[in-house]
Amino acid sequence: MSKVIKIGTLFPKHLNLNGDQANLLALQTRISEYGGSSSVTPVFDLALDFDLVFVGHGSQAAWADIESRNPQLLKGLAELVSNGKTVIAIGSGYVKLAGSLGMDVQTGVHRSEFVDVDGVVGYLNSDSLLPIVHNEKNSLLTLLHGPVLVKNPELADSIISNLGIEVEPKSSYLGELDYLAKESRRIAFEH
Amino acid sequence: MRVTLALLIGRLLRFAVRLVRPGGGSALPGLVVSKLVPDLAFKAISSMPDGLVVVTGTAGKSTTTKMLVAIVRAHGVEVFTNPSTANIEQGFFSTIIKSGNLRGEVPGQIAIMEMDEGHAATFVKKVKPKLSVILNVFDDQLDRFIDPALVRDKLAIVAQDTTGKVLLNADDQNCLLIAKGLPGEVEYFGIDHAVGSLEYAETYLDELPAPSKQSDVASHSGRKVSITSGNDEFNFDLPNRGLHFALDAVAAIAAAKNILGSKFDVDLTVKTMNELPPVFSRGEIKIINGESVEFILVQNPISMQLNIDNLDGDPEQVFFAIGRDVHDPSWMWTVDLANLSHATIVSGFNYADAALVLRYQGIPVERVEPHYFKAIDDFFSLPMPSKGMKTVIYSADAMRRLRRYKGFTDPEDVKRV
Repeated sequence: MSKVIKIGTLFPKHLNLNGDQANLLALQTRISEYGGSSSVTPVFDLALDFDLVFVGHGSQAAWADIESRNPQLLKGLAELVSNGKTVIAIGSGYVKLAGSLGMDVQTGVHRSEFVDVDGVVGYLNSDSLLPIVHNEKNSLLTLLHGPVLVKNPELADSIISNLGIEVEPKSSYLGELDYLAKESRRIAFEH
Repeated sequence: MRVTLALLIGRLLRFAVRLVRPGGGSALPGLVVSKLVPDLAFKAISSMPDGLVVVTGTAGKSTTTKMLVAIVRAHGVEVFTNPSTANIEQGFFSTIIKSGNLRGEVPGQIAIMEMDEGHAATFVKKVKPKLSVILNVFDDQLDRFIDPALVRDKLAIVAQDTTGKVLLNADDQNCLLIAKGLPGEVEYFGIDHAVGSLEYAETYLDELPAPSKQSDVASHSGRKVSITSGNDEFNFDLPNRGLHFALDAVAAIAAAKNILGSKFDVDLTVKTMNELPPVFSRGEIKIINGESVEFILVQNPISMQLNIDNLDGDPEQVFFAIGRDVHDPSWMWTVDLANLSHATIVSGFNYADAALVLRYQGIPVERVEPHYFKAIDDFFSLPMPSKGMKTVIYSADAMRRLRRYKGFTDPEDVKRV
């Protein structure tokens, strides 16, 4: 029996402002199509061990609430990243985590637009000057909010592959999703 | 002289735009005139003897304004208002080009204006409303507003600049935060908790206690609604299905009572609400090629969620089109589309993202058609469904393109079916 990929998603109701939790739908769907299985558990601390921890994008108020409820969360999350665990942090989840990782968190002019970073396409809605897509050990940190793994299936597959799942063969369903994602990336720059 | 010249240019532009784009012509003439005579709209609206009423918030502005205007007009009061397609500053100028004379004067005793939540805060700095109606704050247009708290801040400016009463949604914690520290009088409307609730933007703060409501939705089922306001009771059929329209109705009735005072007539209000057609494309039913077609506009997560949740049964033929107006389609992923059994054709500028949302949620898509006009032709060529009616779910840009293509562009040409 194949291994179940255990995914923990932090404060999912707080951190889904732009449909960020859809990234987990992308991972779960693809894992399933590749013959694997996965589970997603909403979590509010880092007490349990997961193969992947997900941090979505939330409002200022959502983060104020999260940090008041669990002041050690970001520090613990930074330790997971440093220890080589797989963490995906999106939008404000990344900005918050970057501070705990000792990255240079500076702000500049606010940008609200689609961007292409080495083939990864997504929506940037931030004034952060952090690298837009940043890989730190086994973690993916990105300012691109919303369903970035839906739009960029190759990025999703690289994460799945790192979790030990073979990313082939591609079912016709995945073929259909990947074609639509390609169209979505193309259309993003026709606005 | 400058005003007359600017308005003549505006009228000529409007005429020219409508020649090439029937039903269009709202934005450009208003924009040009606003550059030539920047204070025109403010002067025209300031001149109203009974002042300005502003209806704003994330969702429900068009329907609430239309209901409120209909009730006030039914009582014999001449109202100046803006169409739902013109709720930002250039739209106010366009409305004056269309309805005013060449001196920039507009007819009316009172101005009742729907205002975009971003633009209202700027407008009220120039013309202070006598009464404002603040409907709600939902997570919406975050590519524009970034954070829902910023929308709340803008609406708070409208409330603070209102010289008379501010009507607020008692069920929305954002509205209760807006009420804190307001210098003037506040009145609340809402939905009885036993009837249901809407998911407003979370404040993540300690819940403020619910204030007592002057006006409340007491019961609601489909289109039937019962509203209480003070000692008055109102029972009527809404123009559209859905609890959000009941909220619009209670807000409109509360505002009308404040505007009309002792002249307010319950029976006349009930009659008006019973006869009111839906707002352009908000659950509007039109006869096309001899069959009924329902048009449902989805502009943001809440309107998409509520409209999908309130579909009339399980429509056999569904056209799902998301257009260019949806700049960042990410918000569609916050909507649970489970009540939609399938989509017959998916199209519009953002067809790929629309199809991805549906397919990832396990909703069958019979066909994805990138060419919008072909999609429209093919959908309307389908044989009449064996039950129910053809259902068109579309965003604003997809709506405009479809309506222009099909030749029904007059926002006032909407009848109750």
